[in-house]
Amino acid sequence: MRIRKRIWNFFICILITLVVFISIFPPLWMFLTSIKKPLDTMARPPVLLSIPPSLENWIELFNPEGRWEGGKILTVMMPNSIIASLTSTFLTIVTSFFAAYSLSRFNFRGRKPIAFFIIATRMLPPIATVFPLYLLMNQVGLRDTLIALILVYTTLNIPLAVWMLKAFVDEVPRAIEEAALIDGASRVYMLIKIVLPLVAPGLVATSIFSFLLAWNDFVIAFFLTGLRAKTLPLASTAFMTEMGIFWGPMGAFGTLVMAPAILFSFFASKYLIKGLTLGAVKA
Amino acid sequence: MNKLLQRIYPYLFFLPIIPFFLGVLIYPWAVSLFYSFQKYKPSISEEINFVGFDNYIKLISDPQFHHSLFVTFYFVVCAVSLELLLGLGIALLLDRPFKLRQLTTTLILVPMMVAPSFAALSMKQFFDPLLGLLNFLLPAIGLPPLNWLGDPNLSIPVIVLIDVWQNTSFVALIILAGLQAIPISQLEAAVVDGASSWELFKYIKLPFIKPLILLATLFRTIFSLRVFETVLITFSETGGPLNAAYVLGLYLYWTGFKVWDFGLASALSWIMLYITLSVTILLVHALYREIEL
Repeated sequence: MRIRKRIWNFFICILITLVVFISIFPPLWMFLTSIKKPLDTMARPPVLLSIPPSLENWIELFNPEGRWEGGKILTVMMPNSIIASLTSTFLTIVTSFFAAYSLSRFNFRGRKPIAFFIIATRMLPPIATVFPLYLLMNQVGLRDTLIALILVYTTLNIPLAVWMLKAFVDEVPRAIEEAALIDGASRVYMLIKIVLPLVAPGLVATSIFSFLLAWNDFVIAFFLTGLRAKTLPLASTAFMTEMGIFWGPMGAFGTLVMAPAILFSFFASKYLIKGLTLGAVKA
Repeated sequence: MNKLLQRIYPYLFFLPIIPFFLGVLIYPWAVSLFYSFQKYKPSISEEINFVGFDNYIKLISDPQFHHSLFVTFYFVVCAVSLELLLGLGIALLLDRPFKLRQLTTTLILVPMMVAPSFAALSMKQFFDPLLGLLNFLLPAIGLPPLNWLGDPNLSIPVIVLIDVWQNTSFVALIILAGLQAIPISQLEAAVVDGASSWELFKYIKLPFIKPLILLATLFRTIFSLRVFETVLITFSETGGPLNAAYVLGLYLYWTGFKVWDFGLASALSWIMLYITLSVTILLVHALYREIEL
């Protein structure tokens, strides 16, 4: 019996390792490809790692005169991605927090329909949204600008942000607020000085999700931008040429774009999982 | 005056999000509803003429649309059911105390965090018929190498595999949260009564996580209906060999941005919205029976 149990445990251990391995392997492989010698990226059978590793692919990627227009990646696309993601995250949090607070704390007519409407907009398929948005941005002259991207990302992020923040505000005991209000604090003061610090983990988790939506977005930017407001993910198709796919520089580029996302998930995984599941479990 | 302020007070908190919803959501969709009833091809002429339901009829009778619809549903059904099955398995696997559990869940989060376009790129490398890892590993375990990117029968399975890699963790983490919310006393009582692991799963865990499984199904279905860049990057805008993975997203790209038929593209946007809405209503209905939302 004990032996059977040990074999069973060992088997489970192997399965868990396998799941973890499969989860991290593709990004890891991209990184490994980026530090291979250029010839090794085309090797058959595939080579796991060049010894010694080489930075040639990275140098080629960033070479301003090179095939990949390294200058553009660093001076146009990277700043565009960072500005669009950070600004839209900031706008999302600032606007959603108040709505989330109201949904969590007040009882008013139309509360449920409003909450439902907000979450329902999250169901809109972005790929179907791009066409109406394209018409709009054309009309108001915002096509191929960062402002257009920021506005769209913020709007797409608001529903999730409101629901996540609401779940976090729900966890703050009402008594704390009531005590502050009795002590004569104004509601705005209390919101900023008392509620905001208490939901800090929720703000972090929500910000990361909002940031990633914008940072990772391909569809919206693909349709709404041209040369000026181009963001990083759009360059992913550049490495597939008529001459074949350039795995080496592509690996370097992929690593560059995936790194922030993966780092975030490492540092804030606890809050992210909480944010992800809180709404679901409490629904 | 004070009383009025008190009554509208909760609504004031929604003021910051209203301009976004109005400007970036409601207005463009209204404009596109208007165009969906017009003939408007800016590449040919700037003329806009009312044509009633012509665009919708044109779509519904277009075999290319039928093909896209079929391909998209084929993809959604395969991807979502695989994700649910694997996600449930992984959740059950992780629902036990073990060392490195925190690290395990952190690492499992990785696929969800990377951009879908880069997930497609990094997976494409494995599927490459000549240089790919898969065709190198398959013969090693006695299976023939497959022409992953060239065989039309494999186009949708390839997209499904990429989607499963990226999104199974979402399902797993949501179900895992549900499993961990089961009161331990209930589980212990069942064990004391001599329940086997299967009975434990069937009579205690499953009823508890059923609403979460439905919720995960709802989200995964809605999100996989919008598949676009995975196909675009894995197979280019033609949707792979013999257009085998020509999903609705690619069809919209074609009508709106290649043929510049704005009326048709608007109608297609609305049809996609209706499809998503009907799926949502169907699943939410099932969900409502399970829990009080």
